[in-house]
Amino acid sequence: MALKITNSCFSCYACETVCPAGAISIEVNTFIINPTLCTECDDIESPRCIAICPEPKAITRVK
Amino acid sequence: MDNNSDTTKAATRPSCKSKCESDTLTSNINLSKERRADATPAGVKQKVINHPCYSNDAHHKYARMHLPVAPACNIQCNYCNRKYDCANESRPGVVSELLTPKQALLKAQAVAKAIPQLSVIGIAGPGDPLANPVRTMETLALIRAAMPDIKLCISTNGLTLVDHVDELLKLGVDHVTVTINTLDEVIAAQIYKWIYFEGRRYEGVEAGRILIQRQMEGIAALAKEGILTKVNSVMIPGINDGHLPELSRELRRNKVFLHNIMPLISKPEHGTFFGLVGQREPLTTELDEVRELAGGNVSQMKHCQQCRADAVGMLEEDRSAEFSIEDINPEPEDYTQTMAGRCRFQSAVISKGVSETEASLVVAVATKNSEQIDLHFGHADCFKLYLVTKNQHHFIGERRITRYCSGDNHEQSIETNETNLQTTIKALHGVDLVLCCRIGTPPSEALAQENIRVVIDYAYHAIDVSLADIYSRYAPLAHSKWQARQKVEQQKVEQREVI
Ligand code: SF4
Ligand code: SF4
Repeated sequence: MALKITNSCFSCYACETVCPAGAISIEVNTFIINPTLCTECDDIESPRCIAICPEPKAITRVK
Repeated sequence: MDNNSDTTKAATRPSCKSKCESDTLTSNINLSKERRADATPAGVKQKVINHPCYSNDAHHKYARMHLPVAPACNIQCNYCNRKYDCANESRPGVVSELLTPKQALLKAQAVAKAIPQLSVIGIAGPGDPLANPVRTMETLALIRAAMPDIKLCISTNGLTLVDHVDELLKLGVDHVTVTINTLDEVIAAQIYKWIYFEGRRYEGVEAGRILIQRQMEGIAALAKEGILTKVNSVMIPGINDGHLPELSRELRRNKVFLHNIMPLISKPEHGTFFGLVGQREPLTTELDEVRELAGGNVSQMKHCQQCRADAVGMLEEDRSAEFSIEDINPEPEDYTQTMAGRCRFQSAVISKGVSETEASLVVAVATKNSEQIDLHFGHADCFKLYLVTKNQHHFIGERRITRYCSGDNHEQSIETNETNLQTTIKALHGVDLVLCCRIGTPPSEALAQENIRVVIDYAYHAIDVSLADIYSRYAPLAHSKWQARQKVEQQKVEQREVI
């Protein structure tokens, strides 16, 4: 399992602002999650980035 | 964000009667039992006198600018579509060009130079400023350090406000706008889809409860620190309209200075939840009625323009398009020159032209309570500026600085003190006289080098009385400065003629 930002993302920076692992970065106007840094927020129940993202399909779980 | 201009055009501007009522706003001041001494009536009056959003009188004379550095938001309001700017402080349906803090500073300096009426810089979005604490605080700190004559303000939904009040105070932010639409968690559940708080998402009544509690803690903390608070409420017919007068009453009890009830904008094309479900906007008559009912409780603001997160200019206008970041010189001239020019312009406006036709003095006063000259030079983090002519004196603005003498720990930093002293002297550029109750040798020598005179004879005297007296003592100085200026102007004219 890992998390991925899709092209429904409209670059609001919210996920990047709350990610405790510094796993989210912006490259040429696209937001990406670095899978090596991302902990999937295993310290709490569910990922912070998904909790704050205003766009329902912008962050998805991939196998 | 490249469809900026299209969306801007598509945005409908709510009809706004910027009717100029008599200056009633300051008559209804709520004062807190504050820690900060400048929440005296004189202090509060000076805080609003040149803020276009707080004073009915100021919005014709002063300009504001919003810096769009804060994209993220931590709540989802049903009247907002996050693909556009925050709908609390901006008109719905517009998109701002996002700036980094450094770009924001460049833009601020370019605008301050081009629009000398600029008195206030705020951060209002495009998301929630306090959901972007790093970008917001960095921007405020850069501006505070580089532009001592500018007032800073922010607007927020209040969810994380209470965590940031200390920092805002340190940065010299003295106006905060909080959007509070209700104090009832059941009503809140109909206005907010969700909030993001401490790592997770809350919905419904629970979200409402947390948000309202945090907002109230936030405004209480602002009142305690003497930071002037305005509350915005969006009037949503059938949802919170009946509750707004009660909200206003509660705000008054919580020392809120101004309550701004704004109409809901819910055009379907903006794609907001309310727009899509057909929630109607209030009629002008309904809005007037609710404002009337709420008005007995706390001063109402009726000239709000619901400007966008990158608005620039006087309240009635928006010149943001003239200041696109690509067009701004990445190496601006020394701001002290700009500041001296702005000071002359603002003096002329306030004295209704007298400062242009008569000799005058610009006097900086070190005061804590805005009534007496009661501060040591090194303890002042804000100097009040006055224009003094033969027969009158006017408050023209402030110069804010990082406190040069850090007090308790004297050993700590001779070095920091040295740089702080330089910053202070720079911030006083364009001033002729400084009035304070005491001053050390290094600063008094440094001021002398800049041709700024220090007067301590009026220590602990009332500012008004001292200013009325001071002109006669320094008339020769005023005249020599006046003549020097005339000469410079004359040279400029001659140069232009030669060209
Ligand atoms: S799941 Fe947590 S760690 Fe991973 S990107 Fe999202 S916020 Fe960052
Ligand atoms: S929070 Fe969602 S929409 Fe915003 S930048 Fe992240 S993925 Fe994109």
